[in-house]
Amino acid sequence: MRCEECIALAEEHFEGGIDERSEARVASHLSSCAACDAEHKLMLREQAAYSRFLLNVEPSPALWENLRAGIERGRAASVHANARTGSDAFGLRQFCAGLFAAPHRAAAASFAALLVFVALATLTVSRSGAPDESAASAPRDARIDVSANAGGGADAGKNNSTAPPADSLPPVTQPAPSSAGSEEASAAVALKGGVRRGEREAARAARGGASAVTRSAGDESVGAWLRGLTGDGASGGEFASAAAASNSPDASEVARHAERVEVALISFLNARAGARRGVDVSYEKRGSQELLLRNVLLRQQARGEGDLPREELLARIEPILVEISNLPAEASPEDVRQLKEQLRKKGVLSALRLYPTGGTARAF
Amino acid sequence: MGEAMSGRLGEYSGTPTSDAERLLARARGGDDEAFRLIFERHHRVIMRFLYGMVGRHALAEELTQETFMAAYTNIGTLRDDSKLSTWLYGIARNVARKSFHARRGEWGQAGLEDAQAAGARDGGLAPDEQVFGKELNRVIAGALGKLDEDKRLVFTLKILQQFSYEEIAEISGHSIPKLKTDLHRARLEMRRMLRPYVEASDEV
Repeated sequence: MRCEECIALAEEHFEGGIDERSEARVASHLSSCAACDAEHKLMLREQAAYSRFLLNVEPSPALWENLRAGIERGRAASVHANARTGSDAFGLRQFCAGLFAAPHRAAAASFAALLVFVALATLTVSRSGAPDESAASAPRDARIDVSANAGGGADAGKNNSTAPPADSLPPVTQPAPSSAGSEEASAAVALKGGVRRGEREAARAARGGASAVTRSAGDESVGAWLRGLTGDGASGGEFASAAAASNSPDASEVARHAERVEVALISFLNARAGARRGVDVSYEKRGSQELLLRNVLLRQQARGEGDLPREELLARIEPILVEISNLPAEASPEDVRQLKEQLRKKGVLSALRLYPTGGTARAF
Repeated sequence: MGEAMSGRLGEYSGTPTSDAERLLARARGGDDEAFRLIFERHHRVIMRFLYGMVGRHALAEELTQETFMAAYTNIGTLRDDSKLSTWLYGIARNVARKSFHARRGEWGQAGLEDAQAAGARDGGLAPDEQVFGKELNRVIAGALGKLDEDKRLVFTLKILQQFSYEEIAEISGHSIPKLKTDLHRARLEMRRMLRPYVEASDEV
């Protein structure tokens, strides 16, 4: 094998893996070529630096609040623009409000309006012309083509009648810290096939534990939003019931969990052997142990609710979390390579990225 | 079999059946809670992508907000069978591009505080390694800024965020051969800029 081919294949290996035969050829060449071996070591250190680069880029907790404020401003501007357009152009709204203000005028005004309407309709049909559009009747779904304008703020102001009621968006629900200690996490990974024992212990930890705290926090945010819609403390009737049922804190928990798992798996895929020939996966191992416990709880909840797609997704990622948790902090390159291969073949990252969106059926 | 499995793989019935499809349908219908869930699911990875594209934490956060504002406004245009994550990345890419053109010449001035914040959680590293790690983050951010936009995009998505070539092609609209060529050149340029620091890391 030529050196250029070896380095090119080594680079390809970092990007997505190569077949076992090519890998063996590269390993064989590296063992006999000092220059390529030195170059490969430098490439490994590069990869290690890249894998750490984005790890600590975290959004501030205020991001959702800022976004919510921006959306509210956009809505307010849109409502104001509609109101101003109506009164400036015709004054029709104010005129009608005055006309129907007093009951004794209402009947006469209604009859007059009916006569006018019939006359206009007859005239329009006889001329076969297109009906006029009132400036007050805004298009039902005035969305803007995102491909041309992805500016955000200004565009939000143009969106109008299909926007939800102009009221506060639900406040962000900060995830409650897990009350399950490291003991439960250790128990969950004690055996290579230790998921069953972990399930029993996780279930014991969950009774009266973190999930209850998180659930109550989620209910509080939904309740505050509903109160904002109805203007009082009442449940809001049928709409509120439907909204409360669909705004399950479980969906929010799984979404956050899926994101954390995605980040952890990306970090694992970026892990590379260091100078000591082992692969430092201590960070990924710790993360996977915490995520595994949460995964077990969420999977049980999904099973209890009969939510098959959610349960299947969680069941799909659980074995990977178990495997990473069971690796030693300094793992052998071969073990890490096999696990990465498993990750890629099973399409776990793609499945995570599809959740929660349309197209879930394709991921399975 | 659950509702979500009633269709054959790859088919879409046109009627939301799975939990995920219902969430998207709700968001498209103006349900703010559904949109909040979508935000929670994707905002962190979108921000990391934007950080890779613009190199500054505060700016990346600002652009993340712009991305989701645009998503909120335009989610009604999202086709039922589109991948939401790909669509969001497409918006983020446009937002980053506009920002970069507007702020031409401001890249590479990533404050030291950015690098320090980025390196703050290098758990398990000795103090010298942590200090050097922060410096390396600063160098990587600077090196990324010297790449042209196409190379920076494919480098960030492929190397830093482990997307497949197919997914990157969907986000960028570029062909896979072009992406591979751009990535290869990006790697060479990054290596040239990083090499002195990577070699020096041997001493740490």
